[in-house]
Amino acid sequence: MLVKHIMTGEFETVSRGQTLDEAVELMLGNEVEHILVIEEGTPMVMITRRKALLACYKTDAPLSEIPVSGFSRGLETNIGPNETVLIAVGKLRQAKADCLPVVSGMSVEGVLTRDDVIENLSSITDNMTEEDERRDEWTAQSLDER
Amino acid sequence: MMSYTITTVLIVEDETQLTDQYAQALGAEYSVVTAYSGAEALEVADESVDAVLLDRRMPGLSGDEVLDRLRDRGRDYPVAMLTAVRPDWGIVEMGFDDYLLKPVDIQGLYDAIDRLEALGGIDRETREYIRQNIKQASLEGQKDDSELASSAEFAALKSDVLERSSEIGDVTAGLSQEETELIVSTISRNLGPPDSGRSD
Repeated sequence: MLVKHIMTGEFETVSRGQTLDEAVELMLGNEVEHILVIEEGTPMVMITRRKALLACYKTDAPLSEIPVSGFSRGLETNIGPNETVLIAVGKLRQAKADCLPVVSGMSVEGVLTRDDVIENLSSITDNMTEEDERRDEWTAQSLDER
Repeated sequence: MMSYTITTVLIVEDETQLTDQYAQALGAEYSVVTAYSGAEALEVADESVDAVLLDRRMPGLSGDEVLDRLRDRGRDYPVAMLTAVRPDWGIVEMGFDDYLLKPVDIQGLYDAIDRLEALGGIDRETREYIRQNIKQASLEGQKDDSELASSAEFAALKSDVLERSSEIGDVTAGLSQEETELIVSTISRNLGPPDSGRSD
């Protein structure tokens, strides 16, 4: 079983000129916990629920005043569509992430979430995909530098 | 899936003091056989052994050669390389089940035996598939993207994993949650230390 067999192929996007309230509205409306920021047609950043929360906490500003361009660019932690689900689970765990962008070359083909893994692998449980330690969640300096 | 129980562990390590420390640590729970050289390992590695901790760099027969000969003899017990040698492209052709970088503490040794026990009960094809995933994780944990992209050995490994994937559906089907957890932790550990912060 490969990542492409279980990933979520469709994903919501916002453009770099939009603000976080628009991103959150789309996330809530579509019941997803991640959204990709598009710059010149290319996804450059993945904002997750956690990143959005951290941005609110650290800036102490209304969502409508937080530009999505303020999130650090880059999709360095990602997974390829032809990677095995075992490697994907290992990466989710190593990165302490709830989801990973599925990247092939320069394009994003989907998003792999912990729920995708749990739904498709019979012996995987929620706690296998994450490390327990989260005590430093609220202490970072910038919007999303962790 | 067959249940696999490890009662006897063979430790192969040319540093005698280290070997004896490992043996003492594991002796509380397992019957331990020690070998201070590759040649000695081949003499004592009989059907009574259930798992092997194998150093790579030894005078005379290397750990790599010992592993090859054990597999040639049909000894299919789970083997963890226990070594200071960082994994390189050569591991693609090796038949180990886990790769531990020294130093390994006592808990690390026990955890390794638990993982080998989980792997030992898995059918041959699935176990080989998991081995290949572990090798991929080991190399990804040691090499940067450009090195991986330019390696013919890594490309061959990925191709093999891809081919096997088409035949194996849910690799965790038939495994208990505890066994799956041990395999996931092996892959995660081989990918490298956890990120200092969350990436999402």
